[in-house]
Amino acid sequence: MSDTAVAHGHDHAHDHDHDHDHDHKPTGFRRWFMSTNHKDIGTLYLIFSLTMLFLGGAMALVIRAELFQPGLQFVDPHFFNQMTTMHALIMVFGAVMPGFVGFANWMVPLMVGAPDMALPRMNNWSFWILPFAFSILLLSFFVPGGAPAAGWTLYAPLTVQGGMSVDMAIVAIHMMGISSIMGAINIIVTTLNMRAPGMTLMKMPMFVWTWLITAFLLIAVMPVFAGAVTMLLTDRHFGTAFFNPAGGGDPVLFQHIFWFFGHPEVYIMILPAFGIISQIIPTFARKPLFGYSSMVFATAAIAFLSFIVWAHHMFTVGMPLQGELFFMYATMLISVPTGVKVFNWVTTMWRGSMTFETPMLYAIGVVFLFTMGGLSGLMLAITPADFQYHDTYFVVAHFHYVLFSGAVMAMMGGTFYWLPKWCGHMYNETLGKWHFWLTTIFFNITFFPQHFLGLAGMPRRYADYPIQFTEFNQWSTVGAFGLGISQLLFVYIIVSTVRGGKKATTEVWDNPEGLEWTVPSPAPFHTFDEPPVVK
Amino acid sequence: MVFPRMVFPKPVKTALNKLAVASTLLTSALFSGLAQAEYRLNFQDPVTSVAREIYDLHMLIFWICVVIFVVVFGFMFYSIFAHRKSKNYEAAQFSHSTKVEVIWTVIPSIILVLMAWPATLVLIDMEDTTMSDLTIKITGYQWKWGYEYLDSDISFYSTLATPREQIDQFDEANAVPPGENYLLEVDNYLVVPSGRKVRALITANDVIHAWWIPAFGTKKDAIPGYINELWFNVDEGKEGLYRGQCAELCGKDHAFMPIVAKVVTGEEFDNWVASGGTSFAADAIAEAVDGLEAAVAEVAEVAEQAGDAMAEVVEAVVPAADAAAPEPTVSAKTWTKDELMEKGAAVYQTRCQACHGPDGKGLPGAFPAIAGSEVVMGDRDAQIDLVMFGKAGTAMAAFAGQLSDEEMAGVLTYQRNAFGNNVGDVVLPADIKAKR
Repeated sequence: MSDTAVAHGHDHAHDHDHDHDHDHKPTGFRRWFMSTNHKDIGTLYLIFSLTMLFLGGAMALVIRAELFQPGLQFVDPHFFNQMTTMHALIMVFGAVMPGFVGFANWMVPLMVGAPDMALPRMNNWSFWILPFAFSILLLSFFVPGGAPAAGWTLYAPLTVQGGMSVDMAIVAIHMMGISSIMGAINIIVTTLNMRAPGMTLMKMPMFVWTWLITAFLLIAVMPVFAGAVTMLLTDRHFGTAFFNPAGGGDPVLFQHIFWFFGHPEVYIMILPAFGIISQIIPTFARKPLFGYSSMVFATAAIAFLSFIVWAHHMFTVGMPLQGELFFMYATMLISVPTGVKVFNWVTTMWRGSMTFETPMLYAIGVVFLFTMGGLSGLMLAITPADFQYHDTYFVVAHFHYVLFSGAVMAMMGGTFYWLPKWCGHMYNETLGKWHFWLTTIFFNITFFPQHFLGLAGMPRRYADYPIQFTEFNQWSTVGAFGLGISQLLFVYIIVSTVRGGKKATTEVWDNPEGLEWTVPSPAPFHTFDEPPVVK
Repeated sequence: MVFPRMVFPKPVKTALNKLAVASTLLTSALFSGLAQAEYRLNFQDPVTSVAREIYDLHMLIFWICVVIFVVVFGFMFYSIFAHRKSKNYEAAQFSHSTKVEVIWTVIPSIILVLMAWPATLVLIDMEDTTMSDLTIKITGYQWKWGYEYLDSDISFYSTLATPREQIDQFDEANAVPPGENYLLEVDNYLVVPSGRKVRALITANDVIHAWWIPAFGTKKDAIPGYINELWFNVDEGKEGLYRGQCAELCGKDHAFMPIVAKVVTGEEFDNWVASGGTSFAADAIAEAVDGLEAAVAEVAEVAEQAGDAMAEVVEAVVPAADAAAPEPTVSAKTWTKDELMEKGAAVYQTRCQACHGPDGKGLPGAFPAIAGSEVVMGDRDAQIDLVMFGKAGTAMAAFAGQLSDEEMAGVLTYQRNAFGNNVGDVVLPADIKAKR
């Protein structure tokens, strides 16, 4: 019954499908809801991610509108806290992580010469869990007390005080975790078992390498997060006292468990971005990636180190001196492999023959802006200075430089890079460049002033602030609205490119490297039925 | 330094329109001189040795980062301008060099050691809380701070003194522009001596807070069940007021529990302690009500009625002030319902209003209403127990330790007979005393 209703809503998809009848792909409901095809599931992930980006972005604009000037003008502090919490949960778990899984679904089989993901039915399931998980999370706005308001870090005991929205968030997090773990298993199995003959591990494209390592991180830490929120759940409802000092529990224990998940999570969100950048730069520099094997080892080193630095998020909880010193040194050490990556990218560009199409602009933008976030991260690692930076807008600026101008802008660059392969049309280069410059400029107007706010002493997660912080908050708000509105252009470019435009060639770019550029554009529904041979 | 004011672009939607109106309001407020505060680009001026060490370390690391940034991106931008296809630059095809990989692994490692060395020294100094001259216990509550001077009997609470009318700007027409120290004013200052090493023991009563005064270079989480330590020693000659804020998300009014320290000379501090720690508290109150004619008038009126000493006036206006030293004689007094209601209204404003609202309506789903509440209007004993001992697993704190018998009786009587509640009975200080 619902079958016909949905099929009706997809009339347009039907028309489009007739062009590719030779692919024998299902249509309508069967194609999109019961798909086991890595390309269709990849598309679903990417659309989901973009939707969440707008939803989370709208919440960010509520935050920025309230912070335009001192005093409370639009929302009360309780709702403001719901906005900061949900903005982060949606962006981290709804926009960035599924976005990268979408890229992996589309590109990993194409890059390793596999006909599909290794576990196609599980692939379908890992996607279709997400809409339900986020429906539960979003419905929490409508229960008494509203959505979770204790920050995405869900620190106990504040979350123990929360209403039933916290329980809904916990259920949603469990579902997202299952989805992520299944996605990660799929990527590992595909990468390790389904590579084309001749493609040794050390010949894999960097994007596949970074995702392989990311997938191991996901499997290692998502269960830890699940454990933390389950303990929270039993503290809330079943009389345990894991985090309640009155019952012999320990509020700091929650933070340790959370950040044991949370810090690798940071790299889960940035390593695939590194992979995308490592694909784009060689293409437009017309020169092979410099230091391939050191890039692989650096990625592995970052992943390993990410497990032993978690407590740098909690220097102010009152750890013993020895603990503070250890976490400071370990954190500083991460800058070595990260630096190696940046140096390798710059050297790849060095003495290349560069052109600056939109994907390349994004790649350069990411290298430049991510490094700024990396350097402020190095400052944050210095424990005594961190006592001043901690929980201020300096931290907010830092993680938006690594997450927005790192992860999100890398995905935007990746979209422009592979969109012609996905849909068979070239995007409008002028509009693409406009999108890059608008995004970059407004991003910096939004977040650069937040460094000054933090240094001058403005704490984060504040619904209202003393008047000396007014000027930079106004810059930030104006920038945020500009940044948000600019993203409508992104949607317009994608939609118009999918609908039509100049036909893309098989290679799309000027002699790019990789198996994905050996199949026609758009990539047929089924590719590599006969495995290619890699020399 | 005066910063060019932002001009918001043409409003597209109503929300943007509202922003623009608000910005005009703010601009006029600025020009009328009510909200003059300079913005800063860097840390507040340090007034302790630790804060200075942190500042120097911060600047050292910052400049190292700037140099690295300029060098790396100097190469990149040179390459972008020189090595481009439009200049017919032929691409080289080199793809690895073990030598440079080793170089750019070793050099950053050496730089890191150069950063870590001074950082370690500062950290060791910061964590050394021994040989202190006095100890203050600091407790975070939703949403205020409690201070106890462990070397004397002085203890009090410190709550936000910025008037609600300045904060709530939902209705532009009735909004009062924010004052100079907007959100950085409290009723009772933390009083500390300069030139002496002060050790602070930091804990919390409900959720995690963080106690931070930027100019002191101190920030530590206040965690229930933990006692954290920090120390500071304010330079002599740097006496004055220093302001900070809570730095760990602690719920709805996280942004509304500032910290203000009044630094005085050692001699002044000794006198303050000898006087029982009240004189500066009175100062603080005078300052808080300064400029608020209504409040001043109220003080005068109450003073007239009572015809008594200043200490009692203060007590009537801001009961928090006397939490330090409740007068033992008061219990013998016979309280009328009007007196209890008056006292209760004042207590309600400082202790209950943040959650339950100025109109007693609470925040549905998060904080229960007082108005029309079955709990409030129901069994008297049950309500006394709830307010005295709190409700586990919720934000409802136990107030037995925070309020005196009289304050507790007042606020209970007030809740049972205000906001349209009309139980009609009273709760007497003796009822509270019996429960302790």
